[in-house]
This record gives sequence, C-alpha cells and structure tokens, in this order.
Amino acid sequence: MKERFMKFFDNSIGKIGISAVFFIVLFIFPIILRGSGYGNESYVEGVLILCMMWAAMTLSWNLLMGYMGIWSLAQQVFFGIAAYTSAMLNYYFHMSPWLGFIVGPIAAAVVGLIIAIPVLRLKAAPYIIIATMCLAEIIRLVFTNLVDLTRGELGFWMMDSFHDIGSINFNGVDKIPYYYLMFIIFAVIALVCGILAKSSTGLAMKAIRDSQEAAESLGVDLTKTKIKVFVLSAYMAGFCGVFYAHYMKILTPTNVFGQSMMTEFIAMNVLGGLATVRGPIFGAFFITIIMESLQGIDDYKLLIYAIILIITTLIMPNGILNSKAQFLSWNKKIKKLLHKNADKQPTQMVKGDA
Amino acid sequence: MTIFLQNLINGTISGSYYAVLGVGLTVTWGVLKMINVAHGDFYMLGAYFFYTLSKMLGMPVLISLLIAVAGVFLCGMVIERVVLAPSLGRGKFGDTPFILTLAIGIMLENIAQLVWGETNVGVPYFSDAIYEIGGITMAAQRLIVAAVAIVTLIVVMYVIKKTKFGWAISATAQDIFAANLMGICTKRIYMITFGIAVALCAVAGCLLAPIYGINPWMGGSIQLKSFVVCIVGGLGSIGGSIIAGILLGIIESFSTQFLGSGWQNVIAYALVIVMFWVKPTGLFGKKE
Amino acid sequence: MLKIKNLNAFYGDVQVLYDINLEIKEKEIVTILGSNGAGKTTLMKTICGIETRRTGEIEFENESLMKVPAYKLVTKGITLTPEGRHLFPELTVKENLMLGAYSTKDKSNYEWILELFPRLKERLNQYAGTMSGGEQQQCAIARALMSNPKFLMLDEPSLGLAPNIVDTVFDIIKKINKERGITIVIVEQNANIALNAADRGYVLENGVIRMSGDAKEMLASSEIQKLYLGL
Repeated sequence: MKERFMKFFDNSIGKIGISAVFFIVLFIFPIILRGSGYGNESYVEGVLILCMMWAAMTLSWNLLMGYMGIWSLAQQVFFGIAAYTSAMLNYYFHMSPWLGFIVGPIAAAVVGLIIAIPVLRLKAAPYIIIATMCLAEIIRLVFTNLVDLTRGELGFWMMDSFHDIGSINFNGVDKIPYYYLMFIIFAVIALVCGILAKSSTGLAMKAIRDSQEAAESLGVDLTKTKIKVFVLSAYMAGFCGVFYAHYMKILTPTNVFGQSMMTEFIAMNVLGGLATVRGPIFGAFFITIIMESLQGIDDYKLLIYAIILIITTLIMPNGILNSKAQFLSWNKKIKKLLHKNADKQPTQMVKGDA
Repeated sequence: MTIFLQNLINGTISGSYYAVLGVGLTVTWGVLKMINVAHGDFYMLGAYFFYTLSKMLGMPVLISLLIAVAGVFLCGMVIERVVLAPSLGRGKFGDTPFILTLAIGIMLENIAQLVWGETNVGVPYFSDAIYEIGGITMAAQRLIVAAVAIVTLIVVMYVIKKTKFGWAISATAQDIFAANLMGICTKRIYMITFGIAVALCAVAGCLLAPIYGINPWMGGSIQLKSFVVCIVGGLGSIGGSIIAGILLGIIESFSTQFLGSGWQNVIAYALVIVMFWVKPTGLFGKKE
Repeated sequence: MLKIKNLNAFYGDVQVLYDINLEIKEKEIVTILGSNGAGKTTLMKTICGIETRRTGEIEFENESLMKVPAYKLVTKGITLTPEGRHLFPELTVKENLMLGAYSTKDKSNYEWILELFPRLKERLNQYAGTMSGGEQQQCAIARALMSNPKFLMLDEPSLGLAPNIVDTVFDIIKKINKERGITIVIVEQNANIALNAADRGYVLENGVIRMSGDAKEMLASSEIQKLYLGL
C-alpha cells in the first residue's frame, strides 16, 4: 500500500493529478469558505492572495536561479518597477489600472534586459550575487532620490482600484474579485513555468546551470537563452507588481525595492525546492501561512523564520519537497532505533530482576 | 584646494573602515569559499556590544572595545561551528552557506531588535577635540578612528603574511587537501578565520558607533559597500581590499561634495558594475 | 611498521579497493606499481583517511589508524607527498617548508634538508608556484621531510619530470632512506626506476593486489617485464 502510495507521487500522471487537485481546491476555496459559514473569510482570502502572489514571484525567480543557476538577487526590482510604472501612470495621467497589466510588465522586462547585460559577462555565482545586489540597490536609491518624480521615501499610495467590469466590483470590500484575478495570474505563471521547464529552452537552462562550458559546447546559445529567461522572468514578476500596486495601494522604495523582499523569495524557493514548479509554490504558501499565524508574536517572527530556514537548509539542502530520500532514510533510522530499544529492553529487564 | 584636501582626508579616513570591513569579507571568501551576507550584521553586533559595555555598564572605552571585539569573535566562531561548518563545500560555490548567512543576518537583526530595541542609540565621542591645520578641520574622533583602523590592518597583514598561523590560513585557502596533509586542522582554521573576519567588523562597528549611531539595521548599506571593496580590490586579495577600501572612501567623499549626499552610494555601487565591465577580477585579483 | 588488513574503500557507493593486504617493515623502501586508474592514489588517500569511506584495518606501529583524522597523521610520523605535488603556489618555498613542520614544531631537519636539496636553498624566497616541475617535486619531498617523518609515502614522484631529473629525485629518495632510516613507500607507474630503488614491490590492478615480492625478482619476472617494462 505504502509502495503504491509512493509510486503515485513519483508518477508523472500522479504529479499532474496532484497539481490539478491543488488548483481546483484553490479555485473553489472561497465558495467552500462562504458555504461553511466561517465569519472571517475576507482575512483568509487575503492571506491566500498573498500566498499566490509570493508563489508567482518565487516561480518567476526560480526560472533564473533554480533552472538556470543564475544567482540574480534583483527579482524584487522587476516587481517594483512594474508596480511603480502602473502607479505613476495612474497618479499622473489617471491611466486605467487595467492598462497597467500591459505597460507594467513591459517596463519590468526592459529593466530585466538592462540587468541581464552586465550579468551575462559573469560566470561565478558570487560575482552575480554582488552585481545584482548592487544593481537593485542603485535602482532603489534612484527611486528614493528622484523626489520630484517618484515622491522619494513618501512613495505613492491610494492608487485607483482596478476599474469595475460590469457588475464585478473591485472596491476591495469583497476580496473575491482580487482573489480570482490573482488566481488567474498565478495559474498562468505556474503553467508557463511548467511548460517552459519541459521545453527545449528548459533543457538549455538546466544545461547552463550544470556547466556553462558544456552547454556552450552542445550548441546552447548562452547569451540568447540567458536574455530570454531574464526578460521572461521579469515580465512575469511585472504582473505581480501591477497587481500589488492596485491591491495593496502603497508603494515606497524600501518596501518594493529593498533586499528583504528578495530574501523571502530565496527562503521560499530554497525551502520548497529549487528547479521544480511545486517547490516555490509549496515554499511560498508554507512561509506565508506560518508568518501569518505567527502574527501574535510579531517580535519573534523573523527569528523563527530564520531558524526554520537554517534548520531546513542544513538537514534538507534540496528543499522539503525534494527530500523524499532523506525522509525515507530517517524513517529507516527511527525504525532501527526502535528495534534496538526493543531488543535492549528485555536484557535490561533481566538485569533488573537479578 | 583646502576643500580638495579636506575631502581627500575625510575620504581616506572613512575608506580605512571600508578597508577593514572588506578585508574581513575577502578573507572569508578566500578561505571558506563563501560569501557572507551577514557581514554587516556582525558590524552592528559589535557596535551594540560596545554600547552595552561602555554606556550601559560604564566601562572604560578601551576595555569595552577589546571585550566587544572578543565577544563578536567568539560569536562568530560559535556560529561557524554550529551553522556553517556542516554545510561548507556543498553546492558549486557554497550556495548553502550563502543562504545560511542570509538567515544568520535576519536572526542577528531580530535579536538586536529584541534586546536593544528599535530606536537609534548612540555612544559619546571618545574625544571632543577638533584640530585645524591650514583650513582643514579634523575631529579628534576621526583621527583616533583612522589610527585604530590602520593599526588593525597592519596587525592583520602581519599575522597573515609573517606568522606560521597566517601561512596555515593561506595554505588552507590555496589547497585544503595539502593543508590537511601538513597536519593543519582545516576545520579549526575555518572557525578561527570566520571569527577573525567578523571581529574585524566589530572593530569597525565599535569605532564608527559614536559617529553614525547604532540601530539594528545599520549593517545593510555598509555590507554592500564591503562587497564593493572586495570586488574592486579583487576577491581574495587582502592588499587589493585595503587599497580599494581607501579608494572607495575618497570617491564617496568627492561625490558627496559634487552630487549631494543622496547619490554617493549610487556612485559606490555603480563602481562595481563598471569594474565588472572593465576587469571582472578586480584591480588586484588573479585570473580565474 | 604499517599493516593493512582486508582494506576496502568506497567513493560513495562505488567500491574502488578490494581486500587490500600489505605490510611494510621498518627502514624498507617499498614500491606500489600499477597503471593509470589502478587505485594507487586512492590507496594512499585511503591510508590517510581522505576522500574515501573505508572498512578493514590499518595499523601503524601496532596502533589502529582507522579513527585518526588525516591532520593528526603527521604527529604520528606519517607523511604523504601527494600526486601532483600540491604545493601552496602562492607561498614562498620557505613558507611551504615551514608548513611542513606545522604540527610537529620541530625544525631540526631544516639544515639537513637544505643540504639535501641545494636547488631549493637558492630559491627559498621564490613563490612555489613559479618553479619548474623538478624543483616543485623536490620542494614537495623537502616539505614532507620537514615533519621529521618515520614513514614517508611518495605518490608518483616521477610524474611529468625529465628523465635526468627523475634520477636526481630517486637518488635523493635512496639517500633519505639510508641516512635517516626513514621507511619509504613509492607509488609509481614507472616500474623500472621504482623497482631499482626499492627492496620490495606490490602490483595493484583495478583495486586488487595482483602480485608482490622482492624487487630484484620482480624486475626479472617475465610478467612484470611484459606488463610494465615494455620489454
């Protein structure tokens, strides 16, 4: 029975089945929630919206880091650029937030291209980390310093909500429209990531991760692949940014360009498992839900977060979802231990009797 | 002319600290083959230790400084042994230790926040005297700070270049297999090297605390600047870091003068991008 | 002096050495022959406890080495000069030599070693990485001798050296053995020169000991001649 259970998880049909179930549950969740008569559904939906948003962001970063091994630490910049673009156009020109979904991701993709160019020349991971950290920080400082244009540290707030479509009301009183909007963005990004991973580009990305030299000798166009993935990854992150701008309605440079958001993406991805689609999703839901449930002990939140990260990184370096072998070996060890104790106990009894 | 000289001197003084921080980071990279993104948080920890000893407990400055640095050295060694040592050598360039230092950084910031609070605290200047020579004004505090930085750098250089322990550190950095054969316990070298690297941060933290104040997030920008120093000087090159540190200080001092204070960090970080463009191995780095 | 009983070694799950048994007596020169990939270097590393997982028994002077970490072997009098020399390229020759005596803290050999290697004496302040192959090999042996070993293992001392330099190196090896009574194990592909210098020899093939015996007899044996001497 257990064997069959395990095999089901390894099996690709099983995997597709599980993800289908996951998305269906996510899709009908608000309906169940309302049907159940739980009073605080807007809070729960809010948490799930965050989960989906961070999952989508982490998925987009996973393309760069997980599949291609490019340690770019500037993903939050793509998010922030798209958010700012949409917010500023809305603020200065009263552009419809819906158009933000067209303009924002394109702006993010352009920045992705700009960041990709200096990174292309670098091969060693530490150099890429430092270069992208510096680029992200430069962009944050530019947005802080150009006070006339970006309102500096004040940032933007109270952007327009998404305009209503017919009777679907985006005023935020009811979170359902936002929930399904995010759901669509998240599902499409997850689907694209899944398809990309299986495609020839996905193969090229993995080859680059394992050895750039070998990939090159196999005829992978390093420059083209890297730029393509950078731009796509930024474009995806852009959607989340635009959504964030008109959902959270508060943008400051520290908030959206700061390093702490990037740290979360890293933690979520590493925790769930790199170079899979389910890894980042699991990591994002796991961390967001844990952080939300720790709301009561706010002061210790980050400490607990750090400790979780340290422990999982140390004992499950491939992420929680990729550690089946580890779980099995622990299982064995525990069983052995139990057996040993079971063997020992009678002898101790004998001693006790004597 | 005086403005020029003033800028040059101010830049050199703040640069001497970038050098101290950069040397710590570059040594960590050279020996443990990982980058430490919690570097700035050890700087913060040093400052808080110093604050606790000198202001809260009222101990003399010099003794507080020594205890604070020793304390951070011990913390560093413990953290290396408990958290980093089991993960070293994993991943292509040490991805796992990198993520761990990220977590250590978060942890230290949170602990500082819990223990010392979120508000800015300060320690008084060691000396309030101000000297003026030929139109150049110079606070005694900054001179003391520069002197300590220079002494620290000389001591570190001496230990690494001239003592047997320093050779053992170089040996571990260059060839860990052979270092083991020489009877060098490389695990111990790792631990002590990490301790020394973060102790250097603590030195900088203690001495700059009176000038810049102390808060749990003070390490952030200084850390990125230590990265700049490492890259410009060439990762793993100690001499390079020292020169790059001072260079960065001077560049910053002039860009504050000409561009205004919001932009000097932009220049500093842009320096890295330019360096990568021109010579990715840094001014004094070896070829890959 | 060194006794190896039923030694097996693994890289991960792959077994690379099978049931190795050998014994080396005091003041001997023993050579371990074998072609590329026969497991000679692995055997050396396994004796030191580096890289491989091992089972069986290794005894040095009647004391088990199975639980001794690599870095403590030097203090017991065992030193390995690894294949490819593994000098510290960015340290000077002198610093390399001093590191040889890192854990024993006994530099009494220094003068003797400089006499033994006059080439090194001229280059004490040169970076080790900038020397020629022969000089590097001499430096590696000198560095190993700095720890005042009782038992010296040399992994492919002739690798990449010109024939006349190989002769110099082996002359020095014989001299060390004669003057100081240091037990020496030489791992070699160059069977001719190794057997000429050694008292006894072992032949390692695919992780198994195929043959062992007196060096002179082995030199004369037709099988060795065919396989390793190309005669």
